Amino acid sequence: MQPVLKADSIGMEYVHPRTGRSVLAIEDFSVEIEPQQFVTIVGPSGCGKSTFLKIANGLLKPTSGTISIHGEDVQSTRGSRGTVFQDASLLPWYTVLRNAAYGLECQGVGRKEAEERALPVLELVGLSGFEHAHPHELSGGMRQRVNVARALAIDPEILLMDEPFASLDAQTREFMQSELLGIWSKSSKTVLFVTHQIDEAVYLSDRVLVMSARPGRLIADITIDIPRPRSLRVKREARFVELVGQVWDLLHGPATGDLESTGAGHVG
Amino acid sequence: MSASATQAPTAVGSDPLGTRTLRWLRKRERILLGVLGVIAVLGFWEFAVVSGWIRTSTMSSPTIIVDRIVFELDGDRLIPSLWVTLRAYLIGLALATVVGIPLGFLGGWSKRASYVLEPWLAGLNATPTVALVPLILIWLGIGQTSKVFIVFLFAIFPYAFNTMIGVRQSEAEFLGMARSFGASQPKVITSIVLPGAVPYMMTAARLAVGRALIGVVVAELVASNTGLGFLISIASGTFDTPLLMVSVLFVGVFGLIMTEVMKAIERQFDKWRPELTS
Repeated sequence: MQPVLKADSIGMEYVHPRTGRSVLAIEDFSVEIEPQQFVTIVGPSGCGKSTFLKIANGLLKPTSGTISIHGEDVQSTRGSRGTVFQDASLLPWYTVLRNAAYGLECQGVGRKEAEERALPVLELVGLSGFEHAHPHELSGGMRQRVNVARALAIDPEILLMDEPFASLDAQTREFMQSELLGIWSKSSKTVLFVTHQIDEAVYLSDRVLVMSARPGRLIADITIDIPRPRSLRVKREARFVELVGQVWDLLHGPATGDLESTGAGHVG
Repeated sequence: MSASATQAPTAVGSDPLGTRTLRWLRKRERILLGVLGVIAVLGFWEFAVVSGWIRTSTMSSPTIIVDRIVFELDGDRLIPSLWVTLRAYLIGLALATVVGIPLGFLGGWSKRASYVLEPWLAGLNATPTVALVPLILIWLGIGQTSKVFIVFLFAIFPYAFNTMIGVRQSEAEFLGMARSFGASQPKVITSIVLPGAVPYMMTAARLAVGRALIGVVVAELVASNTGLGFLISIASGTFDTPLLMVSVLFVGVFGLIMTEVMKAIERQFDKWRPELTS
């Protein structure tokens, strides 16, 4: 099967404009993502995982390597990926519906048609009845749903998610994780998700890509063999705890203490 | 907190007015105290005139002014003057809005445009606009045109300045989001930059409304043969204190009305910016 996203030895080097010193953010990063896979990148803060997402989005040009979606270079294609941002980035002057339709509008779809197409997506993310609310009337979790809806509405080849639950409280985050899995299974999208939370990565994904600290390199590609659909109770199961521990070890070196105590820990 | 909480009931209990009346008064203290303050000053003024402490010829008195308002409303001076002033004011303000906002947008959106505009805006903004009035009179003479232009000049700076700042402060987060969805430049402007600058434009409008009023009165005081400002000027020249007071009162009420209108317009935008509802 042809991969949806194919990154081939991506490298990203920043040169500081004044000092002239260069920083290697990403080094030799290669990955292939199959259709309808849910793939997550975990790594410590500053490992370049968000940078890679921007490269996948065509917003940044890598200094080396190639990246394509369905065989087409990301720089030359638009609309093949929908981004879910860390902050909901909803326009406060628009209603929920208009915000959900905004991605389509940006791609040149007329307002009326865009809103018509966004309506069922709002229903999919569980926001029926809130179409005419304004963002400030919504909770953090609901705002992120609009954020997801906006990306889904453009019917992208791949959904790029940049730590979308990072600013939510722990309970809402867990709830949104299981909601996201529900939405994902119904929309059958390919997802590339970035997080620094190991348990979030393991819970959501088919594959977890583990990145090292700067320069960001792929140090492991772990297949998560926990059967779907996964309820939040999965997080109490031995296999889940074991996989979380495995990722934790890769990021921190083998743990000396009890795995249980670090099971849901943060990285960096 | 706890101290006042335990003290309060005894204080209220000993109050002859009773708790309920007091609560009723507290709820309305803003209006009550405001009205009381005005009545007190007017009452003292009237009393001072009646008892002969101050002279009617220089200070007039509330009752004389009320009589005069009734008289002038019947005559053909006050109302026509009011209309003349209102017309110059509204035309000048409208022109300032239509010219100032696009000018500010240009300065905020394009770096180069701002390099050209900034010295002018900064320089003219630092110059008290009143100082330019004589120059405008040389250019345009005495009349409605120069009056409108003076109002325009007084009102345009807040528009241009604030819009420029508002456009510059467009949220990077929103711009990045629109870019990632492939938004065109015009789309970015109409959906992000302009709506984001609306609060700044509203502030500008509130400033402009007040400045335009100063402009129109100054113009009429200095060089005009009509309008409320002119009425003030002849009243002063003929020691007609009541007429002067009446004219000033009308200018003040006019300003109050405009401020309220602006507040009402601003409230239209509260749907999406509840945090600025003060």
